[in-house]
Amino acid sequence: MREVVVLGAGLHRFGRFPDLSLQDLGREAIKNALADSGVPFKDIEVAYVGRVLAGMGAGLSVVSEMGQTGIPVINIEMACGSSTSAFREAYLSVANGVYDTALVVGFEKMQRGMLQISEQASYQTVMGLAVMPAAYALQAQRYMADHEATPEMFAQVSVKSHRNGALNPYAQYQKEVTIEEVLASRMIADPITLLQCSPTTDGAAAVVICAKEKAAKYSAARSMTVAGWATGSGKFESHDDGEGDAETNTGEVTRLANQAYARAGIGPEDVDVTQVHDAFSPGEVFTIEGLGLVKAGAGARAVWDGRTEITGDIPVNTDGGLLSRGHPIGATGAAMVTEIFRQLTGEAGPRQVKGGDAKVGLIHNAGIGGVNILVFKR
Amino acid sequence: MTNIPAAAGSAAKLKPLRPGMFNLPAQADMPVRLLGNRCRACGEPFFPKRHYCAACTSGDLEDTGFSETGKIDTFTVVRQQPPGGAIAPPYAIVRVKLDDGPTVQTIATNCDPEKLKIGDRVQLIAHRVMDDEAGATVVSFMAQPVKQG
Ligand SMILES: [Zn+2]
Repeated sequence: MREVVVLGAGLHRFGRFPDLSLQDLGREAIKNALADSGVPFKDIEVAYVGRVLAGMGAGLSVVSEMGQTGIPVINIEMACGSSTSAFREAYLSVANGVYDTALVVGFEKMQRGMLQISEQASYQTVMGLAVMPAAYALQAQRYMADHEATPEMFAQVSVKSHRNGALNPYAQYQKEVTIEEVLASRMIADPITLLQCSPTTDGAAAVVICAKEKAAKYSAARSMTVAGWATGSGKFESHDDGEGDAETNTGEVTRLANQAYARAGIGPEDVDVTQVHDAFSPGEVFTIEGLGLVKAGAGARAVWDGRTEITGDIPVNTDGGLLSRGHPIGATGAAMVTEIFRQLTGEAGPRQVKGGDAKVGLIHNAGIGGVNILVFKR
Repeated sequence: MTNIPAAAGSAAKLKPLRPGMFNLPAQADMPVRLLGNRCRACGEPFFPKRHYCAACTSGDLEDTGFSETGKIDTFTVVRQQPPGGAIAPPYAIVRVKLDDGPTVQTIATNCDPEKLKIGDRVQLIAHRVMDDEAGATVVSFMAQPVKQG
């Protein structure tokens, strides 16, 4: 397979924009990504679009805002992991020589309130079992019983994410919060309080990728290479009890991370900066363990000790993550790629890790039932 | 449909939330066995029933009932009503490892959710979820702590 590089990325600010359409959001993100990459839209040969809640053909209606060049527009859905799925499919098509230049887009407009994870009127829905934060809360309670962890350690994830979000002009929330504020916010499902839940968000993100051998003609003087990937749909484990588990199951994260590390020829000790799927604050704790960035059982302590801060040795969710940057479900994965691009190209400004010398970036993006891992190298 | 014996002034009919998930007792709050199946090829138990084994993909599964008792593997107290939910918060979601059978998720009932602990023993019972339009009491399986103090 050919080497594939990311040439540019861009966002529409994440937030709540009742007066803007999907086309408005998506057009802004694509315009920014194209400008960042130096690739004109007429050179884009295919678009892969991650989206969940929008109706039929939404991808085409957004991408064609940039011009009707007749390219294939491929809609992809994997719940909250949709646009890393779109990214991977775009990558594979370019790596395999089908296309030279591809656009990845993710967008979403969401309703306020809790996401419903079961189909209407399943027994789990009627009994009040289909509660997204509860999947994380159940695992967090068990984690606290098994390890020396406290609710404060999970709350610290949110404190850290909001501190990073305050440095990100594209984040939904750009305001720091104290641990007292996080703990005092409304309890949703013990130990998860409201400020430990990702918000509902409108937003869009776009990424331009290109075969490395064709990239020299574009003006972007910097790039990052797609070094590894893995994806899976939640392998059955004995005594697994269903819904939500692929997102909170560290064994599944480990299984896929090891595939991605092997493809990239690296190990977790080589990773300089990471984006994880912190839909709820315990997600960061479980995932850094699953990814092998810390030992099993050491995740909560690592967060508490500041190791996942921008200034820490394993910086995580430098742009504010799902908790603070926001979580427009179809756009989240492409926004993760955007932040890793900023970090590996040394363009992350006040969020920059490792003095601009970050060489390897890692992404974990989960969607109901599945997990996507991506590895990038400068 | 099972009619409750006319006793204690309550003649409401019991109706399962979904048919075939548990044996319907004569009265609410009586013990129930969950009805699931088990893979003949690898032995993995499932609740609810599956047509193909999630572990080994075999289509050869036999119906079975699981034990009425187990212990709490983990729990959380839900404090905001989810969309479509019929039960008023606060209530506890418990993950129960059955003594003989799979791990299942359900609601804890007839207890103070604030006093639950991991490791507590529970009995599965049929407990009211809501009433339907015809006035029947719709019940589902829930976990009642064996003792709480
Ligand atoms: Zn089997």
